[in-house]
Amino acid sequence: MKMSYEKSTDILNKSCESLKATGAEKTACDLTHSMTHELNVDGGEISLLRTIFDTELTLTVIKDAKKGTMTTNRTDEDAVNETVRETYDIALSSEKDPAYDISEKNTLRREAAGDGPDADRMYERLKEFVTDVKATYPSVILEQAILDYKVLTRHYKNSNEADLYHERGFYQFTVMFSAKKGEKSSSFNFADVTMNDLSHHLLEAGGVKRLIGEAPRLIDTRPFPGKCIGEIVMTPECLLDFIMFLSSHLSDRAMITGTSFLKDALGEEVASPLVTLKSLPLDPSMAGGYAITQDGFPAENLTLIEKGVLKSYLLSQYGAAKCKRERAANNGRFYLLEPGRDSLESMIRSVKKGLLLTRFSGGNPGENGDFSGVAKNSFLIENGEIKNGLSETMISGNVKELFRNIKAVSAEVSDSGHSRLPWALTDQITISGK
Amino acid sequence: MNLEYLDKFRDDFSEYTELRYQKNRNLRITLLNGDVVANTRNHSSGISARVYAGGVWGFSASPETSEADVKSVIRAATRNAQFLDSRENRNAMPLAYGSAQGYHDFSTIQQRATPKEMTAFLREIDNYLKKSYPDVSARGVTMANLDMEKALLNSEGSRAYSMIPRALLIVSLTLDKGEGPVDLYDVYGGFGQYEDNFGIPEDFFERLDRLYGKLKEKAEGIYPEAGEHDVIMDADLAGILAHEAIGHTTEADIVLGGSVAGDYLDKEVASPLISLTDFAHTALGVQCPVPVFVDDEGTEAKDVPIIEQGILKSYLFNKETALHFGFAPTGNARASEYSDEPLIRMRNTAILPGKDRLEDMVASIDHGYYLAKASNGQADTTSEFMFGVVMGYEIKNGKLGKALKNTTISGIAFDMLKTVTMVSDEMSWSCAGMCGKKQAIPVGMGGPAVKCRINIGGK
Repeated sequence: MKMSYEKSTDILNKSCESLKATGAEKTACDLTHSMTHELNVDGGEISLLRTIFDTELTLTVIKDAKKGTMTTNRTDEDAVNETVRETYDIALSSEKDPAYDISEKNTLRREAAGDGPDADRMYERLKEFVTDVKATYPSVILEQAILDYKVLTRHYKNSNEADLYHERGFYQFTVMFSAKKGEKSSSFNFADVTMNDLSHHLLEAGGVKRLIGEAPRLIDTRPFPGKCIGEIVMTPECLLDFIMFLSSHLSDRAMITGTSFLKDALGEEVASPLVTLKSLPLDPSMAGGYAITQDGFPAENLTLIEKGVLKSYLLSQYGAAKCKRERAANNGRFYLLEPGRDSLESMIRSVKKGLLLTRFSGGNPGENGDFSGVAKNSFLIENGEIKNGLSETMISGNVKELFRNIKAVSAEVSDSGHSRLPWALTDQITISGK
Repeated sequence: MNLEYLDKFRDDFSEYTELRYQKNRNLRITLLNGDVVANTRNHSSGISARVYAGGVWGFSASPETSEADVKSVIRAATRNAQFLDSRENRNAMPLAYGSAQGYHDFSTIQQRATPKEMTAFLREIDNYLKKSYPDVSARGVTMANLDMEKALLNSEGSRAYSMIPRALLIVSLTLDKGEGPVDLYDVYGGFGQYEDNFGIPEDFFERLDRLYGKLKEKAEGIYPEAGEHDVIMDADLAGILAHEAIGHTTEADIVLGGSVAGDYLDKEVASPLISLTDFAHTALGVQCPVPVFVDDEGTEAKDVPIIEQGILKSYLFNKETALHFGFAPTGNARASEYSDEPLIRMRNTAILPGKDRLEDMVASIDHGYYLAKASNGQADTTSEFMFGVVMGYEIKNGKLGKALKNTTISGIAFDMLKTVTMVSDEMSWSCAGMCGKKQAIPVGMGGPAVKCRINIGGK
């Protein structure tokens, strides 16, 4: 059962009253309830059905410019009162910071959970997927696959009379797989998509079919020949990883500490003019998008980079106050990178020696943006043609330069439900094999 | 919640059933350049039931724990198992491995510290960093504590309670000498609660000085030469290697998912110098960082010698995979949250120490690298791995040279382990290991220093 608006209002009103009684100047109550119906495939067989209910009540107290936050998953009166007391004690134990604040008065009520889950339909879709993968790709092993339907309700209230409610329901599908022939095996790969409904075969969602279809070609791999400064064509999945690295430099921690390589770049060119990057949590086609920011403001869609120029950071209310900059309209994710005019085929044809980089397995880039890691599930490109799959091949470069050096963006996009991204060609990447 | 409360529901079990109460208490306080940017507690508790019927599983969980709620959770899990059983018709053998009992409460016996005392401790650490290292451009000081409390009952008669705590202090420093910021972090503490690990800031000053000294070396450091080199991987990296690149490939569910280790049982997979064990709770006479006595299926946890003198000897099993492979379960089934089902997880995975001295190992390399500290690691079913390296040194003519900037190493673990020619005589455990297989859960990782050949990323 999903939590009703009336039930969450009742819990929040009682919590707010209890917080008010502490005498704190500013208080906030944030309640999230989730209901998950989840089917699991392990070792190629449907093996587990889970039904999970969870609740998270987060209370915030600001007293004498000191802040405390506590989260519990119990909402009975005794638990709420105990959590209020502890939150107040945490605030008193903290230290003054005038940047602590809560969101302004706002109201929002958005309900879009739909009727799911349809347990029988979920089983049928997953069974169809398992059966068809076995028939079409006999060398592919489905290590794990999870299809779930989640209903999330979030209700936020604070002492400034903010009252925001958002209910959403969506399907998520994650599959991890490899291909095996004799004693030889490909590296594992995975695909994840979110969906508003189950109207399509799971193989047709996002990049699922493309990525599973590539696995058998990655059983026999060779290291990249030698070492060079080369070009890479990033798949949408790989591009998302680098967008996440970039966005971390737009966010609170890197900005507050001043270690972001983009700290003074607002209005400056930070990427190729071919790059327009948006965060669209309210786009109806982005399944599972959020309508309330983490700090209790109504979320808005946001353009982060327009034709290469940085238009916004991803600062919270607190981060904005610390950095003396504008609060961002949302918390990021649900990214769209505007498609370009080149076809993927022409992009690959233009590469003399480089990689089709499907997955980057690497450490988090250093604070200066330097990264290095392994090119996984990737292919050699030589003289404009995709050749053999690669193993034991490393790449290194710099995240900032990677976006500056983008030379082409594909017209084709992959829509995973939580992002819509094209392929992108960049250069000046160190590629080393054997 | 105590085991007696769970006993009330034994008559509600109609199939093989596990009933678990779990409470995770998380605490996180973060100071960033002196500002308290996080001061949070998160208590997550509830009940879960898992039911096995005919070869498939049903699971349900709820944060509410009244008698009616617990009965409802058992019914929902049973219904889920029966739903799948009616469609899959697998008719698998029942799971019957006997029972285990355990009671292990590692709550501190010291007086509990107040939130104010913990914040004051972090403030003193931060003040020391600010005063002692004025050229540091960014400081992060974080306290991250987790108490994991579990009570478990199953239909086979297993009954177990545990409270396993971990308390960590994480310090990160950044220097910017005009060529872009360079950062380094270290983690202190480990098994136990705050009171068992912390309280006196001065106890950490010497270690913080060492961290700062290494950061300064790193700021003046060089990028390694990309390619394959002779290296010494110190304990931190050997531990990640044991966990990520070998351990995961030998988890029986990953073996069923196509791991290369599926073809290697009783075969030579490493140099005879390499022995690798997943310890349950005690290693070489000392308690491990993440002791597990009875796992979350109710199996007594036993040590698993994965590699013995270079030969792959065993996988890690839960009850279901043990049945599949015809082995006994090893006690590796663990769940992270109350709402998580138990998965096959490592406990404390380590390469065992050898007979060489670290100084002799360094002296044996003319041109190579000493890799001291890892950031993160990933590996896959082929045992190809990647680890971030955040601290290391070049080795020239048998001596340590300049420090290294951040780099990455990679290789095929089962190939790389055959290149091992020396193993140091001392081992150590990392105190902060987390494994992210579907659910994030604390693990122990350890090892000695290992000399081998490995591929290094660079410029």
